[in-house]
Amino acid sequence: MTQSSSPFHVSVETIEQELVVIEAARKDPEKFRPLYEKYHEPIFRYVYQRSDDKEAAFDITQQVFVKALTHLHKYTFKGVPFSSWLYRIAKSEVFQAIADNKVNRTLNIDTPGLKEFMQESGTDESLLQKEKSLSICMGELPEADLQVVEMRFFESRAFKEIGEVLEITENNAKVKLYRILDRLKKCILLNV
Amino acid sequence: MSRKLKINIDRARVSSEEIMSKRNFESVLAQAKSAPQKPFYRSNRFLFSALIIALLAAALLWTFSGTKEEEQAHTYPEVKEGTMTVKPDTEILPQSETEHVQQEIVTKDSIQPVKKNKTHAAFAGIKPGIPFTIYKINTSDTSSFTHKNGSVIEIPAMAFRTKKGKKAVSGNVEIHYREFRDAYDILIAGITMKYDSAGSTHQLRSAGMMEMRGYQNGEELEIIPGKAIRVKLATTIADPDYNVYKLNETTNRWKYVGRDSVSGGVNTFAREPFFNRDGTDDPGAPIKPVLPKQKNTQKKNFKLLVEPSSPWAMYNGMYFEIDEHQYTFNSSFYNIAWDKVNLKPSEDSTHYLFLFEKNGVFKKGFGEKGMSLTVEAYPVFDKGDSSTVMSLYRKQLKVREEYDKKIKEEQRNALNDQFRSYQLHGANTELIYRMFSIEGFGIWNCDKIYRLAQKQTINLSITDLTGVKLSIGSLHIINKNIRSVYYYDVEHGGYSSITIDPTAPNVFFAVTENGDIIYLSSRDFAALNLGQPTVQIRMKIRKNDFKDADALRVFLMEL
Repeated sequence: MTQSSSPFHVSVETIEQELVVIEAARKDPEKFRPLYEKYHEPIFRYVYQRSDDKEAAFDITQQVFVKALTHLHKYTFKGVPFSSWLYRIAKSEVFQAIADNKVNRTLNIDTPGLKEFMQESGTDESLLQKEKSLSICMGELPEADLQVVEMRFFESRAFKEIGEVLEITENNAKVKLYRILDRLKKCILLNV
Repeated sequence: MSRKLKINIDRARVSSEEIMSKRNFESVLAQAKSAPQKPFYRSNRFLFSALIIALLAAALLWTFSGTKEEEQAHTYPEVKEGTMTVKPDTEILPQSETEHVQQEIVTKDSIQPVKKNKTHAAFAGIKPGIPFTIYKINTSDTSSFTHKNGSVIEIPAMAFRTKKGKKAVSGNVEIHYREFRDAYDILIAGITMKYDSAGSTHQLRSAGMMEMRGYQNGEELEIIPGKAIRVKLATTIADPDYNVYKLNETTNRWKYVGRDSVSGGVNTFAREPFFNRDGTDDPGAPIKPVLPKQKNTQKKNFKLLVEPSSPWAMYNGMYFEIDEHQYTFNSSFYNIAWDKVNLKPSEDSTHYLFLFEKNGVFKKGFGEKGMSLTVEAYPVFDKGDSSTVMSLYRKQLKVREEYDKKIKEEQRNALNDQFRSYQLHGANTELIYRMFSIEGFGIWNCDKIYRLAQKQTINLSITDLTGVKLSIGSLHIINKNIRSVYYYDVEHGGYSSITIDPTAPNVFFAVTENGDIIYLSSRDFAALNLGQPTVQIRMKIRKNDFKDADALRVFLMEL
């Protein structure tokens, strides 16, 4: 399973430190460097997870930070780590790149994540033998739902993290996931 | 609609060292500094000022327009065909929104009228209402009837008298009967689920509710005291801990009557699911053909050659062009003698999804044995030679359209009986009777007090999709897991702060003065961030052009 370094489980103290950095960076963009260095890798992995071109993913990642720095004056603290704002920018940048045909929307699956997915969705392994059914069923998911599945199984994110990225509660993230799994299971059964 | 999605399995992981080597903060800094600044007319200051001026102008207009506004109160903006994009002014968006955050697409069904209601009438349900079934009985002897869902009503002889003259009636009478078997029926009928007891207000949860009226020659009847009617209300809830209540229709309050008794296992219903019969999911449905195009010599194509016994023999010898967005296509495809092909049209019918297989494809796990390739392609014809290909397309399309029409008709016919019964009983569920006696016509309910499994109080700001605040008379919330409806209205505390189960599939409803439905689906609810100090509920509107209660109900259930 992808070992994405998670920036989410951060203490209140760390969040406050980040706010100090953000405040300073608003006056002097150079001060943004520690946040760039901290989040460059997680943001790249998030972008590359959803795209098929490594170089394009690096470019998009740079663009995320350019956007972040340009719009830093708009950022308001909402009680979640600064990274959730970065992920929102990353999400829109990825979709823009897909819309511009710079990258293809990609679902990167690793075997351990797939096994976990099969266990949680109650899907018989034999039903998932074909790439076809996964491709069809995942392709039919609304983007927001696909993100939940991706983050949970193929990026190993905790529900709390998923909630923070998607700006929903941890409980809602759980409820959402299990509804999606139900739908996926039905779809896979129909497409075997 | 299905999207193009490329799937990679166990792709090589990019090392942290490689990622680190790509860091270039100086480049980020330089690009951020050279980013174009917003023109003044797009600046926050300008937009905010414009907003204030517009609001002031609107307030002045509202103040001086008086009667004219009231005359126009029922006029909604014209709704045009197709889709349009409505995006709130940049300044209304949360600050974390960025330029590329996806805009909301507002369709014909969800264009919001911006409207302020000055007065709010009491909620009287949604039209079209739940219809009554009329049973004709002869009062000279005991009689009974069985409602379509299995409920049984047993009526003693000579049980009725006129309401006005209190005169016992004989001969034929009409019994008008209907049931409210879940939250949707209760919502549509506008029946309250609040119960006031000992100075406290509780929420009721129903195990079954019915309404019965009697008429003779159009004159309303009542039940003669001592001639109680026996009700065996069909339900799936066997919990004995329910009471019987009767609705006082003058005060709109439930009155506790007593306890019911429960009996089970008297009937077995075995029904096939009604939903998912839209044709596309039905393996027996004729194919929805893809419109052929003229061959483009710049694009890759292939000729399909299959055995006459193949289910796809009708396409034998036909050319298919690889979709330009095809992402998994590999030229080695041409060099392989595939031993099996399957295809299905994409949901939007723009291309076929072909699955070519060789050696049984995969046995265990991915890619261990055999091989397969998914190809997205559409049929093509040579310039000036479209007749054969188009003829097949038209033939397939006709078959498909006839099938769709037939399925729709079947669904329509089945709604009244099969669907309702399925919803009530589920597959192979034993029918339960909740039994009690009534000595008066009206609305009767088997209820118990319901307490939220989890509680969260949230402050609401109800707006349309563009962020404009809506003023609604009453807000109704259904937790799809229970048979109850929560009502909040401006006369009784309003709806700016409500307590709900945050984990439940909640659906929000309101009704405009015109009877149109404003709603927030359970999916949209699940996506809300309930942790915010004030939660913005962006409601959509659906024009109420439902032909009957079942159509309305289907719409509500899918939210």
